[in-house]
Amino acid sequence: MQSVINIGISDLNVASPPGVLATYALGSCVGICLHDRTHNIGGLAHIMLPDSREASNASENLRRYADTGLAELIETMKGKGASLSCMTAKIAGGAQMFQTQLKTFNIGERNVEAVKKLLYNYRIRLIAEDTGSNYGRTVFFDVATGVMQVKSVTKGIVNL
Amino acid sequence: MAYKNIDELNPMHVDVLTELGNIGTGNAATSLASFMGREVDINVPNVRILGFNEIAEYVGGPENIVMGMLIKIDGDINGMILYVFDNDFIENVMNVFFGKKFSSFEELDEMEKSAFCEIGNIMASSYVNALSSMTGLFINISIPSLCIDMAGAILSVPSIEFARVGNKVLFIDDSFGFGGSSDKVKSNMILVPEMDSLNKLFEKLGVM
Amino acid sequence: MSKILIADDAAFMRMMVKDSLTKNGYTDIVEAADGEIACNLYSSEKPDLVIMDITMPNKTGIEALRDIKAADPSAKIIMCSAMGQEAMVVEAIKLGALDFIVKPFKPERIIQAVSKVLG
Repeated sequence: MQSVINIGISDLNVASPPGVLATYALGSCVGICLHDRTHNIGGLAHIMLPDSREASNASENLRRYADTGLAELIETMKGKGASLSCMTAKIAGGAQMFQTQLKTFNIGERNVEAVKKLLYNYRIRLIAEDTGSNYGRTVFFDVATGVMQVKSVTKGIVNL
Repeated sequence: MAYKNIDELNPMHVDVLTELGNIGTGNAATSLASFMGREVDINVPNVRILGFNEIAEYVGGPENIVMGMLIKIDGDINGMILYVFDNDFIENVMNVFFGKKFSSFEELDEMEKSAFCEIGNIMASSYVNALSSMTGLFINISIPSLCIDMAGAILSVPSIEFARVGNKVLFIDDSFGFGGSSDKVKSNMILVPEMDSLNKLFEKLGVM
Repeated sequence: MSKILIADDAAFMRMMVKDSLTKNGYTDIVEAADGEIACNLYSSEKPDLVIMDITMPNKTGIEALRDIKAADPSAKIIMCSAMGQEAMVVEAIKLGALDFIVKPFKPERIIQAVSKVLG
């Protein structure tokens, strides 16, 4: 029996097998799944915004931002015995839900770019992604297999 | 005092927003009734200030498929309005305008979607027209943008905008009755004012 | 036979206005889905009257009103918008709009405005 751990908006959690980490209905937000296969530890963060340094109220919730959220996810996994050099990443989300001419709405694209840049800086290899476009995604991350399952209305179920 | 964060609103200001919600919604319902050629009665809307993870529960859970309509506000007040229409609301509109039953979102054609956009336009306009006549502020709106998808994904758009100013959103829960029927249909409106605009609104209404 | 140009981004709204007009004998109708198309169609089609929405992409109805009036000061334009705020109505009238119909409207309201302008 797998236990599913639900991760809300601006939140994160880690698990060991047979745990499954889930986050529902990502729109412009990005779900970051980190996996350390060697130490059997997985983590998932649901971030909303690219950069805590752009916000005046960042200290309210550091899990909201790509930079501080990812940093905390890595530290939490390390605390459970994971090692940075063993981690790989899969990401999903970053859609633009509404087609408008207003650039400020395209926060999804900025979120994805920020996450990729951060992963690169940590030297964490991004091995799969399902990002962009204009639809919402639900993510189930199975820590035992490292499979990130992405569910959407238009594309159904995709295993990555 | 000037607010920096929506979480800080005192009860009096929440009351003011409720009243604005009331008047704006009353106006929007009147317009909707006239547009649809039906009687529309409304209940007093509930104005709630909710956390990001709570709002989806009010529209059937994060994975519930809903129709969302986003309208940007500018002029003297900046922000956005997001409408989430429930299936009964959609059913009524389909019936009145197209004499059709609503079976699934996939079957909506462009003309039908355009009717919902016009409803969004008319409701948002009459809402901001009411705000404008109470405050003397000029408030313009953008063309509506429609999206049919998981509620959580649609709601992430206003949540992200609100995240710059706090952890909560302003959620106005309207329920309408069409044509004297006792069945209520719901349209939820999420209002995302910029904090400066909200302060300006309170100032104009003399409730600083 | 008078030719009427309906400019509105919502296809549904164009259909409703067109229906009312057609039922009342105005059958020569051209449609524009935004303000820019409205300006282009105005110069190519030379309609006798324009029924113009305001909230439209590319060019708003106010901008299109200004541009059409600049090119042809005798252009007859009726605004038809849900944005009925005083500042908007005043601006449209200043720019030369002959009438301002606030959406939603009864079909008679459009017909009354059209027949008044077209005589």
